[in-house]
Amino acid sequence: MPEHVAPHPDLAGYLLGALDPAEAAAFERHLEGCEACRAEVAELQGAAELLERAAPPVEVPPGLRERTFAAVERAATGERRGRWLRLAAVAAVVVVALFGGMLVSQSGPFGDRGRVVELALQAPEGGPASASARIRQVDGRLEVDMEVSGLAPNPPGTTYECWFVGVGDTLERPNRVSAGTFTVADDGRASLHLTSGADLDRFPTMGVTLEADGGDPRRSGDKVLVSQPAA
Amino acid sequence: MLEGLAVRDAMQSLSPAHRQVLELFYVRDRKQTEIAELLGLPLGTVKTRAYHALRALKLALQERGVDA
Repeated sequence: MPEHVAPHPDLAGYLLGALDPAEAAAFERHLEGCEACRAEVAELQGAAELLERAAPPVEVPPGLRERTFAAVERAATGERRGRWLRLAAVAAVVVVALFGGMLVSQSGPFGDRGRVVELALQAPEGGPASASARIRQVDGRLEVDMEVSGLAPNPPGTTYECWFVGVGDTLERPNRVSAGTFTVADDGRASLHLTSGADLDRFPTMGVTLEADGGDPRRSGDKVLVSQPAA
Repeated sequence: MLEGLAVRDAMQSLSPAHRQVLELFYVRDRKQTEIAELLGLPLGTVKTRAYHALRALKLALQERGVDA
């Protein structure tokens, strides 16, 4: 094994998913020939994954991220107090990141507070499965009551996952937030109560997919129920 | 979720610089170069700091009984 005083500089960025594709590919080529870095990756990837799981990236209301980063830009170009302003702006970015998902727009379907939106979900290919969801805004969050019927019992090792879906969502470029998971027993029914920080203006459609167990936060499974967008 | 609490607690135990760099890294779509720009630090410093922050997080998790 070659002398290895310091790990490859991109090791943490690789584990935290912060490399662009070319950097990631270059790092993977390095890994093939570097036993020490492979050991480092094996040792640290658990912590990186736990961080990702415990603090998943949240959805920020449209425009807020842009406004915040614009403020960072302005602060960064300031003169004497630039550094302090920049640090304050960085703190603001982190606050946006951590709490942005809880903010719910006051316009759109919930312009008059307390209004209730009802969505009907049906199987995309037709069939007996259906669900009705009643969505209320309570203290800036969405409270969802959903009744599911006619859905096949989920096979062992899988779970149904409920989503708020935005425009243009695809497997490759997801634009959705999970609202929770559930299981269906032999009677094909489920009664759910879910709470979500999703912004219904940005994610106006609800859907259900069948996902493998295992904690992967992304959608990979088939759509089993979809709704029309909330009016 | 106990694991999530342990991670949050472990994050709180890190130095502010380590915590900050990890927080910036897990904001989706922030690449290393952008983080360096945001912090006004050389790219190499950000990379090294992120590595040491991950090491510190792993240690803090182990101290809390989480096998990371």
